[in-house]
Amino acid sequence: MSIRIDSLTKKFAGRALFDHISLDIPLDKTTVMAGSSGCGKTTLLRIIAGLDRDYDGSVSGVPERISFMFQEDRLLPWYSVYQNIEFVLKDVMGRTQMHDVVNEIIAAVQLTGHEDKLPSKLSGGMKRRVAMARAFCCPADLLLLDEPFKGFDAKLKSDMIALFERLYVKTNKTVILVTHDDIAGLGRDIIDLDGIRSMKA
Amino acid sequence: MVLNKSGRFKRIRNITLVILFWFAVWQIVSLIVNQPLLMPSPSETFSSLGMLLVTSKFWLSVAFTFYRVVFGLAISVVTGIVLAFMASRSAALDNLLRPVVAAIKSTPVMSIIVLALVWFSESFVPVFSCVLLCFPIFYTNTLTGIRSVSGNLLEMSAVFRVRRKRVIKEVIIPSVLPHVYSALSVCLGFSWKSVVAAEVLSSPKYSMGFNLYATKLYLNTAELFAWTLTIIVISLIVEKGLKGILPKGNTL
Repeated sequence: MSIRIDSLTKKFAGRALFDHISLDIPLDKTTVMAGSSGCGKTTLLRIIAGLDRDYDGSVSGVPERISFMFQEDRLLPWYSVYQNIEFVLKDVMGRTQMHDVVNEIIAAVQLTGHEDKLPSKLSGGMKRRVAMARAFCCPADLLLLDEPFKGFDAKLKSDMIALFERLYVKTNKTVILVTHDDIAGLGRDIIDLDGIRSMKA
Repeated sequence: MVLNKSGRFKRIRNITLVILFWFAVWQIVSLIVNQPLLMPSPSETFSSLGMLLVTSKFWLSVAFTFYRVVFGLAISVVTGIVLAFMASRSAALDNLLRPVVAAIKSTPVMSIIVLALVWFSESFVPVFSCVLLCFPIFYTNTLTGIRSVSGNLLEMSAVFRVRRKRVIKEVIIPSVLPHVYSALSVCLGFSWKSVVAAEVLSSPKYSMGFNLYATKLYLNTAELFAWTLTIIVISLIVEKGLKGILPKGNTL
C-alpha cells in the first residue's frame, strides 16, 4: 500500500521542475522528504494534497482525509487560537468531543492560557504551534507537514518533535514531512527529491 | 480605540473646545459682515432652530428625509452586495456591469437628479439619486473585498474539507465586511447630501430639502443655517450610532 506518483511532469514558466519522476510513498509510516531549497518539496506536497492539478502524469493511492500543516500559518485573523483549531473540527465531530480535543491539543502544544488570543497577539512561534495543533487534531488518514518545526527555539523544537513522535511516528500513521531540520531519524523512509530529479535528468 | 475615564474626559474637552472655537469664528464673522441676511449669527440661527423645533412640519420633514436616506442606503447596500457576489462568480456579469458602474460614478449628481425628475414621482427622486450615488460604491467595494479573500485561507479550508456554507460564513464574509463598512462610511455622508440636494429640486411636501429651498425663496438665511445645522447633527448622530452597532474594528 502506497501513494504512487507516476511519470510526474510539472513545469513553472516553461521550466520543468519535475521531469517524468516516479516514486512510491509508503502508507502507515512517516516519510521525510528532503532536498535543497526550490527542489519542489512544497509543490509535491500540494500535488499530493490535490491543491495543484496543473501537471502531467498520475498520482494515485492518496487517502481521502488529509490534514496539512502549511509552510505559512494560514490562521483566520478574526478567530482566536481556540476558534482556529475548532474551525477544522466542526464538521467532523460533536461539540463535547471537539471541546476536549481542542483543549487537549492546545495543552500539548503548550498554548494553555492563550486560547482566546487572536493571531495578531501571538508571536511567530506561537502561531506556528496553532497551525500545528490544527493539523495534529484533525482526524485524517494522511498528514502533510511542510517545515513544521521552523521558527522554534531548541527546547520547543525538541518538545514538538517529541509530541509528533508520540502522536504519529509511534502510532504508525501516514505522514509526509518536509523539513530542513536534522530530524531524519523520525522518518523510517527518506525521499531525496534532489536525487530523484537528477536521476531523471 | 479604548479610552479610560480621564482619556475620555480629555477627548470630550478637546472636541468641545474645537466646537467653541469655530462658533466664536462664526460669531466674529457675522459681527464683521453685520448683515443677518448674508451671515446670521449663531444666536439668530439657534433662535430660528428653536422656533422650528416646536413645529410638526420640522419633525415630519426630518422623518421623511431620514426615511429616504435609509431607504436609498438599504437599496444600495442590498443591490451592491448581491450584484458584487454574482459578478465575482460570473465574468460576463462583471463585464456587463463594469461600464455601467463607471458611467454612473462619473455622472454629475445634478444630471442624475434632473433625469430622475423626469422619470419618477417627486418623493422617489431623492431615493433614486441616493441609490445611483451609493450603489457603485457598495458594488465596487464589495467586489474588491471578495477578490481580496485570501487564497491561502480558501485552500486551507478546502484541504480540511470545511463545508462550503461555513467557508462563506466564516472566511469569505469576514474578509468582505471591512470593505462593506468602508463603503458605508463613505455613503453615509453622500446619502444625506444627495437626498437633500434631490429634495431641493424635486420639492416633496415633507422634506428637509424643500424647506431649504423655501428659506432661499423667503431670504430667511437664519432658517437656512438652522436646517443645515440639523442635517449635520442628524448625519453625525447616525454615523456615531452605526459605529456603536457595528463590530469593533469597523472603519466607520
